Amino acid sequence: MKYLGALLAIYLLFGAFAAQAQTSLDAFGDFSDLTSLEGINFDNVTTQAPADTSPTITIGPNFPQPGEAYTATFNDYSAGSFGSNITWLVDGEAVPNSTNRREIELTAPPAGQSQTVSLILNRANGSTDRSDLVVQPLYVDIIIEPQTHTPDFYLGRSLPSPGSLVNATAIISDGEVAPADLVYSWRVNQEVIGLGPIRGGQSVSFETSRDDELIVTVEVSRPNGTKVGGNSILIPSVNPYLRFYESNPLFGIKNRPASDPLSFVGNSVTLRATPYHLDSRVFNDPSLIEWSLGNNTLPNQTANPYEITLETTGAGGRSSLNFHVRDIDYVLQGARDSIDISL
Amino acid sequence: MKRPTIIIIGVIIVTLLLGVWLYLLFGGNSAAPDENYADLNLPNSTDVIVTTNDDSTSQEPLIDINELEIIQQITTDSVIGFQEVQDTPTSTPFAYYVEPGVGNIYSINLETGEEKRISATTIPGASKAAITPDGNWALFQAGQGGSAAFSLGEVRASSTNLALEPINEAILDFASTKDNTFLYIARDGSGTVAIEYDPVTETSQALFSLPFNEVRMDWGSSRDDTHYIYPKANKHLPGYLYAFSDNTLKRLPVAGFGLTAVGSQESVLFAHQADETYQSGQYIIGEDTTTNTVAEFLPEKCTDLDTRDMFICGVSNEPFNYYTPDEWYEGTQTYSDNFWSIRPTALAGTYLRNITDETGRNLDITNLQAGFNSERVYFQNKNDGTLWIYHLDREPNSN
Repeated sequence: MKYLGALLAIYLLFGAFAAQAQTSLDAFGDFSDLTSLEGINFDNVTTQAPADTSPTITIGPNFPQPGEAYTATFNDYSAGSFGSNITWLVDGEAVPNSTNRREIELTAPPAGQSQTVSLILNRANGSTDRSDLVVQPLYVDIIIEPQTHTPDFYLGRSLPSPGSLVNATAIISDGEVAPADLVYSWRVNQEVIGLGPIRGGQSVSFETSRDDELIVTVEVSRPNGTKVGGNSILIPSVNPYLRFYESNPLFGIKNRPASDPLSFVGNSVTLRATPYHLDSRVFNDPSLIEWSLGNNTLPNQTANPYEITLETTGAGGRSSLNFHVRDIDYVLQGARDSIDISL
Repeated sequence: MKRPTIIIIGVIIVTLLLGVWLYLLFGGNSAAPDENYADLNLPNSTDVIVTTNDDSTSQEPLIDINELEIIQQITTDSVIGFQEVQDTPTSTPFAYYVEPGVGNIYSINLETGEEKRISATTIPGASKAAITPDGNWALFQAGQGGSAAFSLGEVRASSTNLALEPINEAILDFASTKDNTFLYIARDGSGTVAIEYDPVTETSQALFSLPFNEVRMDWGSSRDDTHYIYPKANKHLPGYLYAFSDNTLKRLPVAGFGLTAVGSQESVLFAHQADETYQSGQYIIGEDTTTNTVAEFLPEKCTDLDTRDMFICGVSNEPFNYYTPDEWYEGTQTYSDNFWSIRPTALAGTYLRNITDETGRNLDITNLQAGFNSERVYFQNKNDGTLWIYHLDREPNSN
């Protein structure tokens, strides 16, 4: 059901996007104002000549990325195509096995190149109509930067967690990365970010909801309103969790988690509880942070409250060392775990 | 004083001392139970403190340089940076490395095995370092994250004291070049800027800027080489590959969830999540084509050899899965690697060495770096941070 909802949301989003895009395409806007943008030539961005009764071509997705497969569809709203022959051309060459098909599969050209898709309709009454669509794909990359914690040795990116901040950045390019002087419209699920389109709004920040997944969508337009591209990605929101690592004042933190149970080799060991994907604001200023051994809370009077040093007393045995960090005002932002200590 | 009195006083003193000793031996630990688990309260100081130790000129051969070994361990402890230093192609090669926590620099003569401390300057909390190939300069990171501090040190032949200069920039990643300069990326507002710094002329040159911070760099060997950039990987998040060359930042047709990559002037090896596993591929720049590779690998376990149009990779027999590479980053997944060579332009891959057979150990390879003329490849074992050499020049048919 959750996935059906997500699919429905994507369908509605792109349905609205398609309608808007087609409207702007039909308006056949003036692109000359943006041709000075370094790295991108907008002269041939997806366009279509308007005609009242002519067949039209629509493509899906509306803005294919370079090399991406897309579908070209023949739309004849006048219903005058009955009995007509349909011929598809790409850059003037007939598309194999496409005769009389109303929908064909194509592949967008590489970045920096354009492709002209043509539809020739030979009607039963002998008249001929033609429609052209120029596809110049652009990369619209969405880079997600969750403001959540991972340890320094972790080479990867953290993930959003409930209530955490996320930075999203769109990079649009046709091979060469272009300046940011475009208008960006961001949405997270159905919520518009930044109260609407933002010129130069290449980057936005938003706070995640309690949903397990979020759909981040960006639409990119010229200042005159003509759309040039868009993208949509699904990102997860995960619950923070803990790993325990041994730490050494000289060598730093080990990059493999401590064994569980942890056996003492020397007289003491320092452990660091490392939260993954915990909101950085909570990590830096947690309202609850607590170590306990068995049922006894341990004093937490250190420069780094995520570390604790254990020393042997000579007695043997086994006990559970627990760590708990949480934002008590937003209880989903927290993690709790334990490791067995063997003496 | 009478003699018996002196003897009595002596016996009393001896008895008292004996009592104190016995007390300390058997009953001296009077701490409450909770105090036994107190934190050492060691602050994460990142201040640069120059201290020297005159016991720095030991020239005893410490490293067993066996001329027959193909794969050789050259440090017993972890290192935070290393560099092959060789004045000329025919002169003696040295392996320089930096000690974690203190930032001391050591050199190992790869012909005699002689190990020597060439910098005794202590840099508390040293966590990463890069050394120029001429061995004259080192860039240090002390501490981690937002509290990290950076400094540039000049290695002097006449002294084991470094001449240190702080660098007041929020550096995210750095490397040295074959031209004895440093390349680094630093925070610049909400984005980053890539800079080349020449320590001799003390000049900087901006290369490119990016609108995001979570950057992973695969630096070229010089400023004019191609540098590859992608957002840090996560299996749940899409990644995209960019390349900076000829003063232009370009988007390459390589993308995917959990994307990682390593590149040369001619080609790129990459991997990303597909069909619930981590799949490898290669992109040939001149042909603008992507294809599958003959072996599955983590690109972060590969390095390109400038002179041979080839990558050397640590490749594990263990299959990747839906959680790759996140679990490897976390340390919950380790690999036992073997060496492969991969030639993307020839669509070829060759199994080179079984590391476990050669060394008797399972090595989880990381941080590979080729030496001069690609005769040696240096790498670290991720399990313990130790430094190793793979002697490519000792391989049969090494050319």
